[in-house]
Amino acid sequence: MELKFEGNVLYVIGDVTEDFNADHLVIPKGAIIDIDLGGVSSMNSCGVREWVEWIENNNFHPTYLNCTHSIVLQFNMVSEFLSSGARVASFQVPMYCGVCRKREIRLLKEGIDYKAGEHYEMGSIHCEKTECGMKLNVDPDSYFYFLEMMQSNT
Amino acid sequence: MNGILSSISQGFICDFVNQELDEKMRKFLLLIGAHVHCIVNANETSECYQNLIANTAHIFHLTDRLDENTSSQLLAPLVKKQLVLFSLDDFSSPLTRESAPDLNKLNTIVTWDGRSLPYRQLSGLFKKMGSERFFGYERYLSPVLLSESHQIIDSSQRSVLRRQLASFVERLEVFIDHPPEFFAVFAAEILDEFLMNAIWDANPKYREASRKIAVQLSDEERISVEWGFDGIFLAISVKDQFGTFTPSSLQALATRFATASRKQQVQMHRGQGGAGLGLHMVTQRASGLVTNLVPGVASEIIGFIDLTQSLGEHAQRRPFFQLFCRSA
Repeated sequence: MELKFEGNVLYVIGDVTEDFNADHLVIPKGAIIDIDLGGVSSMNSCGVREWVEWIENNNFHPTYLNCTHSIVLQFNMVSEFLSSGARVASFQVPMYCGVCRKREIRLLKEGIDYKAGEHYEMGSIHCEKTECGMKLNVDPDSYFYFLEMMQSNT
Repeated sequence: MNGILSSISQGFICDFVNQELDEKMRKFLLLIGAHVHCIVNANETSECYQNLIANTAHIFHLTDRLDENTSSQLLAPLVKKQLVLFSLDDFSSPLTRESAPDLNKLNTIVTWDGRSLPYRQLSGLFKKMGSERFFGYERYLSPVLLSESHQIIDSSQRSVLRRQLASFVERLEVFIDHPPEFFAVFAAEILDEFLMNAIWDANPKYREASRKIAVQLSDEERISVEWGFDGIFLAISVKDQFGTFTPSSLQALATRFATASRKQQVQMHRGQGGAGLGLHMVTQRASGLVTNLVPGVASEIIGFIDLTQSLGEHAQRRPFFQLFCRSA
């Protein structure tokens, strides 16, 4: 796993596991930080614990950007992930068209596509083909659940 | 008909609220050549039950409910009995947490989509009960197309195996109709959780050790890892030589998945730690889980992923659970 802190954004790349350690980063306690999770391929159960403890112990107020499918599953599963005043500014949604066999990752953004604390439903989406069958490649009920939960956490 | 049960003495109690399921299950049992005893009326239970106990090697109590009536039947010798709960995919099952005081005695939860019977789960279950050997994923798969096996002697092998399995799944795109990249991540995550459980949680020597420090395993602590693909299912098996797996953690998960709404199923707290959080992660990603246990000797956990489903379909499924425990 690799951590890069550039321009007040922390970039996390690779697998987040029990080896997660960000103690070498100079970030003041209580900071409001942007964390780009677009490079995270997976996060195991020990990685989730290490991550949540790091955020809590430093009293950070994170804003998560570009969250991958794997991270969204963790948002939904471990409620503490989105405590400490955490915000999700943008996250990825896998799409798939069985007709064109085209796969796509859509990036949904807070304030434009969704609001924290509100139920979210994605409208129909088409590519350039009229017979396009592009649709969500996730279970919307469980995948977007964290958006509703964020209300009580913020 | 020369079915999967033709040479095995097995008896069945069909005890379904859902009439369609009842009908389908009876037809299925007749087709596979079983010696079928069916009990629907509770008044008949005692006599038929004694008959079953006397004349069959294994008994399957197949039901879509758990209530006082079912509980009283559990008083019969459990040594040769599997209690099999059918859980409906559409969450319309009459089973609720309140009506299921004995859910922790469940051995198997199979999921039924309201249409075709889950043949693979059932045949794997029935074949297993008639066999001396019940470890291994092979009973659940058609003849395996591709497989790999590995031995773990050092915890640092985890990251290598994660990548190997992800790469294995990515190469399966030629067989399936969906892009497998998300399933490759799921498979690697499932394997990683199984391995952490086998290396640290199962081994009394390392249970309290920090997972940040790599450990070397002796021959007696060696862990076997296998995965295989049969054109539909990917199976991932991890086997340890301790047999310290506690069925209650799997049963708690099974209860949660049998009785909770989909949203309730998803949520967990970090504090529900130990193997709990890891196993919960696994059930979010797997189509089913089978645990084989010989206490004090060995345990095996097998995760299945149906690779023919789209990611969206996969997310909406309810996983099946099977738990087999046999004394040494």
